[in-house]
Amino acid sequence: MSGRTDEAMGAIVPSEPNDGRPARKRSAISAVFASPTLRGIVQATANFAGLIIFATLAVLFGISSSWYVVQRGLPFNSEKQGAWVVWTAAGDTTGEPYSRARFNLVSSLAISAERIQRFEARFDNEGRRLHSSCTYVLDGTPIDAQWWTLAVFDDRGRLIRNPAQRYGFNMTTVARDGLGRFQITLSRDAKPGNWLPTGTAGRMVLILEVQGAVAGASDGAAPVAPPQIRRTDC
Amino acid sequence: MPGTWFSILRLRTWVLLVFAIGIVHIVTTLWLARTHEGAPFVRFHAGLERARFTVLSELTPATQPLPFLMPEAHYAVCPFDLTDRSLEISAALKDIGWVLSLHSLDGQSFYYAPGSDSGTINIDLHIVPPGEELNGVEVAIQSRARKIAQVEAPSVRGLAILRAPINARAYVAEVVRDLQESRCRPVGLQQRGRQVQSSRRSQSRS
Repeated sequence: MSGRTDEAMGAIVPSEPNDGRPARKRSAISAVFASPTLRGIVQATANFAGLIIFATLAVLFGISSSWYVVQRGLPFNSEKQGAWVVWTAAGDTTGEPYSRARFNLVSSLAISAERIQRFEARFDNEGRRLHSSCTYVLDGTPIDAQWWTLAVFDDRGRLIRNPAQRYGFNMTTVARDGLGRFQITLSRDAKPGNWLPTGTAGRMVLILEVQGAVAGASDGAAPVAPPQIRRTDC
Repeated sequence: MPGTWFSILRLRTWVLLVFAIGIVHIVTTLWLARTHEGAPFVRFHAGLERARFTVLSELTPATQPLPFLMPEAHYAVCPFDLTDRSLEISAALKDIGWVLSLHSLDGQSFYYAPGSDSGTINIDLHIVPPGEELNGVEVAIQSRARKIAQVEAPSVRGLAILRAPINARAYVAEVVRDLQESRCRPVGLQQRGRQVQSSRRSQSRS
């Protein structure tokens, strides 16, 4: 062993190398660093740093996990259909706190999800964030419902300013083919057909409200199928 | 031995960390759920005349009163306060896509009536404060020979919203006119008391 036991300090002190410094000076430095006062300060600092790290981790993970559940939802409060999410407790403030927190944050006027299905999409079918710098095509099959309406908002729920003053479509204003299918193009620049301008909104949110859905999975029929969101250009 | 003690200490630290994360998670969620409760609705409620339907101007980025409010529709909004009165609402849902909905200021959706493609649906509602006795009111309402649905609000303040879709530009003026015909009026407690008394008198005479 290349050290010696300092019995007074109760610690292993490395043997003193012959570095040319006077032995008296070396022993003074060792004495300062080995003094109980300094060790106490170092210990207290380490404890404090540990506490800070502990608190930081707790706050960081606690807030981010809450934020994740509130923003993205979990199976107990939301249903995912492709790129779309339906919040099952929309318009119900008596239920679990995550949905309440969500609707407080987004401040939307939600009607009970039992009455109106409100689909929300923040990502395309490939899981990429919807952004106004890209072009998207929404491929819709006939929606088996009494009424539906679709609109695009910026990330904070504001309508996107555009010269055409077009902010959405509903089942009567959207152009459909003979089979009832429709395509809506989201882009900055004008497109033929059902064009929804996205301007310079940045991140975007699509909302589809379906009222009086005729078919439901529980009836044995196909549930409402929201349109596929396909990114075509970016 | 020091190694064992260190492992125990680490395990205890991990357990404490998970516990602390859980506490922060719960506190954050409850704070988000309660602190911001209904703030935009309260501002919206305060900015409009109470107990009267106000037809909002067409939704644009400049006029949008609430986030994620669906465009392609016209809205009539009646803010109400049931502290010392109840409220009567009469609305005609002219077509499919029309919706009458009632919301408390904390965001609770407590009534909903959709329109139909088979003709106009006339809705008459009597909204009473939470926990209000309905018996007397019921008599008073029946005396007017109108079928009025009674709805107990979960809180005293809220919004009645009538939504009419815009199917074509040419119909906007007509839709706005139809929305303006909707009625939202307060029924004071004293007035209700008189109605009940007169109704009881007329019933005892007959």
